[in-house]
Amino acid sequence: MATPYIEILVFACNWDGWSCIDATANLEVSYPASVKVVRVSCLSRIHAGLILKAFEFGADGVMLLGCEPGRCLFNVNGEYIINEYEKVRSILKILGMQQDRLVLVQLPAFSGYEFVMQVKNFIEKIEQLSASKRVKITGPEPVQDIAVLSQ
Amino acid sequence: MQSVISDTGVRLCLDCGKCTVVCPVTRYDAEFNPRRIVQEVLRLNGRSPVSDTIWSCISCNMCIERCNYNVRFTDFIRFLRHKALEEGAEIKYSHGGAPQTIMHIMAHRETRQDRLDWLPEDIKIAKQSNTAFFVGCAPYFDILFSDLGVNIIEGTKGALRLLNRVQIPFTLIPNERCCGRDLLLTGDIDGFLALARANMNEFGKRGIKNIIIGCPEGYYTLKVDYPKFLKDWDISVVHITEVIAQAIETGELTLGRLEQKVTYHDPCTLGRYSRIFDQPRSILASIEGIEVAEMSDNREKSLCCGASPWAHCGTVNAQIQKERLAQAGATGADILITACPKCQIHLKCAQKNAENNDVCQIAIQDICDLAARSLLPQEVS
Amino acid sequence: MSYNTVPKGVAIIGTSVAALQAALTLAQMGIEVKVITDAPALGWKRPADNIMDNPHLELRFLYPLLVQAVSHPLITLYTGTEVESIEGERDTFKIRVAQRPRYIHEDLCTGCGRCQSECSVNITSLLRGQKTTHPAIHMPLLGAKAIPSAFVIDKNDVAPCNVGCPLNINVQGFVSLLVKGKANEALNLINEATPLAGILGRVCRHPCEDKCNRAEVDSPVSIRALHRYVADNATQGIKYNLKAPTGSREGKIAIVGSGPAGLTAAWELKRRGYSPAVFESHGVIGGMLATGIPRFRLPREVREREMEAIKNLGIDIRTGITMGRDVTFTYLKERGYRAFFLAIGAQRNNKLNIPGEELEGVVDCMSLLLTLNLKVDTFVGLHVVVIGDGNSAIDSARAANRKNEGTVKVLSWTIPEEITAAEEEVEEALQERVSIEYCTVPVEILGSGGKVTGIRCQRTRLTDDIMANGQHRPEPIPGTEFVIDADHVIVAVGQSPNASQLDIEGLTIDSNTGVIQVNPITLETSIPAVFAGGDCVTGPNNVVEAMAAGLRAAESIDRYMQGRDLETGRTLEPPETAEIDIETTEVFPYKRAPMPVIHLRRRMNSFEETTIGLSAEAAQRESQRCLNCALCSQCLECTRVCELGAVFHDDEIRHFEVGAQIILRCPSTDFKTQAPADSGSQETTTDGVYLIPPSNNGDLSDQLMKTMALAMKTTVELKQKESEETKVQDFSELHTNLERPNHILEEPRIGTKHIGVILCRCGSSINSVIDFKTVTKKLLRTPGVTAIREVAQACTESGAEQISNQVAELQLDRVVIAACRCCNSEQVCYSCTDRRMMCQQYLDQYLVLPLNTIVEFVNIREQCAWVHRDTPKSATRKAVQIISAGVERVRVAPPTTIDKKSILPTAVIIGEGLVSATAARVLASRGYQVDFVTKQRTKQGQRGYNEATLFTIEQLQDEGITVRPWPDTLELQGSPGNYDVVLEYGSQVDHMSAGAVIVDIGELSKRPSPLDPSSSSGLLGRIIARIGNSSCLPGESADMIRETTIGERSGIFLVLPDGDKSPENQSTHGLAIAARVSIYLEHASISPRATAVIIDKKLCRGCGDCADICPYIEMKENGNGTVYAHLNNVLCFGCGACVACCPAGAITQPLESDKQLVHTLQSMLHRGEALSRV
Repeated sequence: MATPYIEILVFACNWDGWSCIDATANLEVSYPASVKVVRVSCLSRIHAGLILKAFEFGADGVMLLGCEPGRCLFNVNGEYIINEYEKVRSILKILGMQQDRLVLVQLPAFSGYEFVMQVKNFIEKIEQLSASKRVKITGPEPVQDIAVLSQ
Repeated sequence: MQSVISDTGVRLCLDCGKCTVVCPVTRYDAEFNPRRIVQEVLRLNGRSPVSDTIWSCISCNMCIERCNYNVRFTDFIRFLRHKALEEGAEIKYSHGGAPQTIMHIMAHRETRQDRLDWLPEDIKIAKQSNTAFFVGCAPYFDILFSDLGVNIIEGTKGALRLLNRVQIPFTLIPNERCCGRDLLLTGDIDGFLALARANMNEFGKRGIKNIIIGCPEGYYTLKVDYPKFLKDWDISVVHITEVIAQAIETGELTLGRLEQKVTYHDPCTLGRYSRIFDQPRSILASIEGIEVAEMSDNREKSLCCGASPWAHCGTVNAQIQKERLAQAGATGADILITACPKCQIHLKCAQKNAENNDVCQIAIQDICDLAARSLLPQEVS
Repeated sequence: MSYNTVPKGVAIIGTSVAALQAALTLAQMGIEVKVITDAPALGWKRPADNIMDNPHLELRFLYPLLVQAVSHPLITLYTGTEVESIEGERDTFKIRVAQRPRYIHEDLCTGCGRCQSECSVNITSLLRGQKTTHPAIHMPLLGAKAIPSAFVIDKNDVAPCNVGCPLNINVQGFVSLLVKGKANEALNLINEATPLAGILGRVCRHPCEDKCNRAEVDSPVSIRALHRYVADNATQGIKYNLKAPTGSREGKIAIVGSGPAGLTAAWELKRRGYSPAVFESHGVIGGMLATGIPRFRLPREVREREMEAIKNLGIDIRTGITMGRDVTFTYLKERGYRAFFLAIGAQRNNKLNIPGEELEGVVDCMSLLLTLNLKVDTFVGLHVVVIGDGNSAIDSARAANRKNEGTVKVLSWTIPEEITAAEEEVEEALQERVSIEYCTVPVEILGSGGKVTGIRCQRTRLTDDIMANGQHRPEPIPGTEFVIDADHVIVAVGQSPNASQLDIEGLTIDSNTGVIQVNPITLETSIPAVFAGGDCVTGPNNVVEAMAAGLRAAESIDRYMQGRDLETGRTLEPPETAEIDIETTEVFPYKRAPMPVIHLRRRMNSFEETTIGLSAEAAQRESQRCLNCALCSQCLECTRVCELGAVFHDDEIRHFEVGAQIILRCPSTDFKTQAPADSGSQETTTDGVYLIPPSNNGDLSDQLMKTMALAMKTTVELKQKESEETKVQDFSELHTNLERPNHILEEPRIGTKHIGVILCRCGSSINSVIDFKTVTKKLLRTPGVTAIREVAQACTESGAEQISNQVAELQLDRVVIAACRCCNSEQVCYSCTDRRMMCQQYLDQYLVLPLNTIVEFVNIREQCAWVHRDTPKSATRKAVQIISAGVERVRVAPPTTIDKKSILPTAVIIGEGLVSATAARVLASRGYQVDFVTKQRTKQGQRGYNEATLFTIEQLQDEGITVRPWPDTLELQGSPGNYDVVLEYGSQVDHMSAGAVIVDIGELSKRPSPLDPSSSSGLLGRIIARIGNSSCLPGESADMIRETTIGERSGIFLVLPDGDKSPENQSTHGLAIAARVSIYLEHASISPRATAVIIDKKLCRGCGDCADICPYIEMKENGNGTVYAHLNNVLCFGCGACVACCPAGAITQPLESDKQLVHTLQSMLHRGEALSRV
């Protein structure tokens, strides 16, 4: 591929979020195939552990895609996910991975174009993140020269 | 397997059951039985499918304290866990596995952390020094457990202020990694080694020869485990309480005054593991106006904070914590002083409890934080 | 109960939100519903239908509603259907309807869109005021989707060009195919109608172009040039397909003459299975094509190529045999020939009948053209004069011109505007410096020594006398005589058939023109079984007409041989011609493609073809000039590509009757009913016809409530009727006899752990992007995968059958279906479609899986193929990743447990006032056991209730309702479907078991309530404490929406305070609640949602975070002083917020546990992949 393979993981809530993803197909708009989507029943289902896991597995960016505030089908208070979102951002910061690798996008149902625009901007932003090359995770420290003396 | 059985001295087990009697976990969950675990493995000579209960051990070392033949049960459990993981066992992570994941990310070669934001101007860092202060995971903990109102970094700041006061030069390592103890305890040896290796490289690059640590977990890991796992690891490791206590003894440092009644909680890794019982107490004692009350279980007998490596932490652990807090409350102290960040977190977590529940809400504070505050002008007189 | 004779159920006319809500509500209460709409799809936006404008609600609520309505077994949907009349009365309504043709089978079409990608016709139309462009075959979209998601074709009458073509070639069809450059398909389409494409493409008079609507914009589409382009550029050669196998039809047929007429007749008869014999007098076949048209207009190779193609069909053509000379009619009859087609053309040249015609050097055009065409060197004089101005005159002039150094003159007796020959011919002739003397007639041919030397001519002027061909008859002007020198005179004043030489007795021939007289429709001559066509009937005429005659004759002969009537159903009238509105289609002028020609120099002394033909680019551009007058061009590409055979181009309007007991109609719908509805009131004057509530200026909840009330009312009426029929007096029998399954709890068995992957091609709309070979190869490496299979369409019945067969055959207990569906939980989010629902329904029906079988869906259509069309390589990689993620999810998923509890057919209603009372009475009338907890009230006690709405305790009791007094405290225990409502009266305690509980908050809030939320920690209290912070919509409509999307489990229904206190409004409210409750009770049994969570008591630390989030979670005392979180998972909505907030990881959502999510991430992300490999 011409552009660097920027891997984006989208956690989409089953309702407005997922519908945006679905809409892109119906509206015949396209986005890079390096964008992967994981459906969850509601964004409040997502916690710091899962988001960080995505980064551990090499995601260059994670997008939390959900309903607009106050639109939750389950009436779950939006604070929960915002709280997790803030946590992870601060952790990314001290991990030296830039907090902007995590975004929270809340869209009205079926805004396919909007989603594609957002995700493309996100990819651009990540490309710009100076450290993105350095922090691109490839593997742990080599362990061959470590003598395991005992267990 | 055989080697482990001999290394950990399991073969010497007399099946006396003292371990089980003193085990705080067993007290609340009969299913967990150190004696039975050992005997099972011995009987089947390690060919057995390991039972799930191995995950309930909080590696507080109480059993070893009692064991006449010094069977290193916690190391043994650690190995069993490693074995279980290899066989595809599933760890029930607490906090969504966030701590472990952070450790794995930290382990990456490319990781360049940016973790010194908290450092206030008044703390002086040496330009050049072969002595480093190992901060540990405090910055991460303060974010992860913000909703518990923990403020671990205050302990670190306290420690550094004290060192400044004693004029011991030290440097900080911006890209220092987690010591990896929690991965080690859950049997994730690879993860642990990756972190250990990363740390060793980091220290090597900066020509570090001595390390002062605030976190007892890190202290024990760097002091005892690293030499075991890493050849040519030759860095001397001391705990902050050792340094401070000595400074007080030699008169280099005189602490200020605080009108408070406190009780001291021995962290397992500092106490039973590292036999550091007196230094913290002498530090407390040297603060004017402070009254120290001991809990019913203290020093060697001290009750664990109830949880270890961010996994399999449930009702039982909550009960242990509740009991420990009750002991603290019984002393009538205003503050429970500890030297371990994890003790703070676990105990505060236990205090956060659903309605109608009588958990002692005693304040919890780090020993260095307290000691340092005694020196603050406003606190004096 | 037998209703076979009587119409059953409810008919709903119109598709407003309310209409569909009514349909679904009725169906869920077990009523048959027929929905009739003139729109091609549900919710098709028209100003008339009050689909709400709030896009949020539209998606959150409307889509799930529509999708469920479409896929509900009890609802039949008639799209594109107009109501013509309504007869009968309540219980026996007969609705006469007309259903427009859709041309696509609604049930077969899966909306994969392959057809659309092949369609080359684009239609610009005005939809709701704004201009939209879509292919002729398209989805009638509502927002971004269509429900049902089936395609529809827009058609118009026959395109004028097609009408203009005597051969009925699908002109618009082949032109539109050229838009996508499909020359081969175009040729096949032409050859469906007629042979000899290459010849027609050159010498046809193209009447089609005269009719072309494009002329209104600029100039007609150059159809003949495109026709020729097709013939010359189709790479796959000429393929004539047979309609019937050769020899399948008996009977010998003789065709006289191998000209266009004869050959075409032979060709058509051959295709119909006959074996005709053709008799040709010349040595070459093709008649005038071979002898009369010079090679520079119709090259020999083209002619021969197409003659060959016809010969190759195996038609027996005997050359050199002249009818009447070599064989006789009688002889052939004796030899058993049963039918004859005379196509001898017009070969005999007309004479001038002036002096000197016999001189040497005077020849007729036919013989000249013949010799020039077939022989190499023929004498041509220095000063050639051609007498006549027809095509053959110009042809011979041009032919002679190519051979002579001197001059060539053409004498035309009329003015340039009225010259007989074709315009372009004359032009080319003039280019070639052939001079034309207009208004000139010969008087005498002069000569000396028997040789021609010149012509004495006379000028003419036009008279008002109009001739047969529409020209003015010229007359000579006396005294204008003059002489033209000439050494070679060619007479080309027309030909006439030489029918007499056939010497067939009884054949009627026009005495002065010499043409054979026939019935214009059948072409039958005066002799039965003898038909005639072409120039020998019309006089000299164009190729296309002759060929048309050939086809017409073939049809007649076929009918004759089959002994069918020759005339019935045949006419000379053209079909309805399509008209278009140039304004709306908004075409921009674009120049007609000029036909390129070779240079003059190359034309002289050679018979090389003058015209070159259009280039590919020119042809494509020209084809785009077509205005698609008929909309769909019938190119049949959609039929070709549709893997499901769902396209039916000959679909027709259908008239039929829909029976119904009761009719509900939208205010917007207007139709002829005996008594028109007055849209003022709820009910119409006709008994049994109700008006569906219109939008109350956008107040959806109000509209929905009224609608549900209406549905409830209707149901009650129908059930009462039913009970009369079935003689069941006591309803409670209905339920006591009802099969109520007790608690079913089935523990999973150990399975084979075989994982299978099913890949859906979706009519090749998926595998055209994603490379299934690679996917299969890669997936087979993923641990646990035992087999990978492809299906054409997972959402069809046959698809489901295949899948279930493979599951059985491969002993799979874990299945991943990669198609367009994304979840297998019962919830209907607005990403869902009716096809996805069907997919699920068919699978449920066919996939009789062992308990512990887990099915996971991966959406590789909307998630991959359709959004990464432009990057197939990475799309394929992504497909592998997301499918293996699905594999991982099923691999680590815990086996499913079935946990069904029965719902008691009883309801407890707490509250007072009319809402509760109405609900109580309706439910009682439905035969449910009803307990009504209310405050004693007397007539005086009731504030402002009018007589009509009065009720007293006695009344209620008469209706079988148990009325209980207001308790001191009220506690709700037990579990959904079987609640234990505990009432405390001082010391005495009452218990009531309830399947459903209705609580009238509105009333409770007015008095010190026995379950004041603040005090009560019980389930009811906790739920009540939550209401009010509802987000989507005010009040109950939020609950209603949730019921539509994820269904109702709790069986607790809250009546919220309502602004409008009017008795009407209150009883409506009561009816609506009753509807929701009966739907719930109808289910008879409930199980937890697939997304429900499970709490591990051992891991719970009792922090209570989850209980803060979820009203259904309760902190309970453990024996040892600790507390733990408790949840009856039937109540769980499945949002998963509790899972995320639990610090100990004690709560899991089996359908998407952390473990599953982590594995998903691992397979989806590159480093995860790497890790899983080591």
